[in-house]
Amino acid sequence: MQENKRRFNSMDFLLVMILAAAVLSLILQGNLARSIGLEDVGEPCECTLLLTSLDADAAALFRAGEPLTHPDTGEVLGTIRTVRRENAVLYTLDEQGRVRQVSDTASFNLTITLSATGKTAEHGFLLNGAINASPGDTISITPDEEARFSALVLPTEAAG
Amino acid sequence: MKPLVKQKTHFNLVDAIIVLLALAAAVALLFYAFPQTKSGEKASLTVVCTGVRQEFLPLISKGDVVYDQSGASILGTVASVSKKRDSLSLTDPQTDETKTVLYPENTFYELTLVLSATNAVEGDQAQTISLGGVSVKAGQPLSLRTARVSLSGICESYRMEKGGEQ
Repeated sequence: MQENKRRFNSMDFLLVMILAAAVLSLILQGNLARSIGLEDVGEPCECTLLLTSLDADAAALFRAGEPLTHPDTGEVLGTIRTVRRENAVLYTLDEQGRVRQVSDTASFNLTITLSATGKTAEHGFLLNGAINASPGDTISITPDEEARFSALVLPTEAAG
Repeated sequence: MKPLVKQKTHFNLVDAIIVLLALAAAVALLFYAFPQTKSGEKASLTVVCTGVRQEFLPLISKGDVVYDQSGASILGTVASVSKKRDSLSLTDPQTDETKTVLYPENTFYELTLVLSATNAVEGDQAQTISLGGVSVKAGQPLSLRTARVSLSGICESYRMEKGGEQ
């Protein structure tokens, strides 16, 4: 009796390739689309960020017209449109035991409006189509390659 | 007439790989296309968020759908929101004593959110519930997001419809 041994043929190879591609695309679908620029990153928008209690040198790093990037990925988050600088606020008790707000002349709060790209998802706003940037979110930013800051996202109307 | 030759094929390694890959693809497809929707029960969850800036107050209201921090799971909907001025500890310059006082108006608030969940199941660990796959227990920090705002708080308590408050 003749034994017909089944060999790995081109059809098997094709099947394996198709299945492997299907699995890989499912696993990598988020990153893949992003890396080849096919991800929907949204439309031009404005994002308001608040940085608190910066010293004068740190505050000076943020200038209109300069880009802000993500410190981990180097991804450009947007371009600074305006920077509003105010003294930071301290809370103290006065002689009558009441709370008072006083300006801290040594440190600054910055309110930055950022020209960026984003889109609205069901669960909030996504900067560059991926970074959670709803009001209340804290995002990591850097105005240069060395300094790293955390910025609170404010409602856009709060920019003033 | 040609003798009939029975062509017997054996299940070999290549077949095994193909079957495994097909299974993996099917499972992955099921996982991504149909996220786990374990049927659950009704529950209410009380979350206290402190240090909420007054700008965020108009952004959360009754009926808002609440997601976990990643946005992947729905925890429930906002059943009620109550606010009061948040407090802070300051040292009295006269007595050097630490006092807990309220923040001034229009600065920071404490929000108490009651969330209504319809997909709650008893958690694997004692005194936890799972909301949309997110494990929650009393006293646990919890980050929430809605379509308009992101908030962080502490799960103060939860109550399953069938059981008592935890």
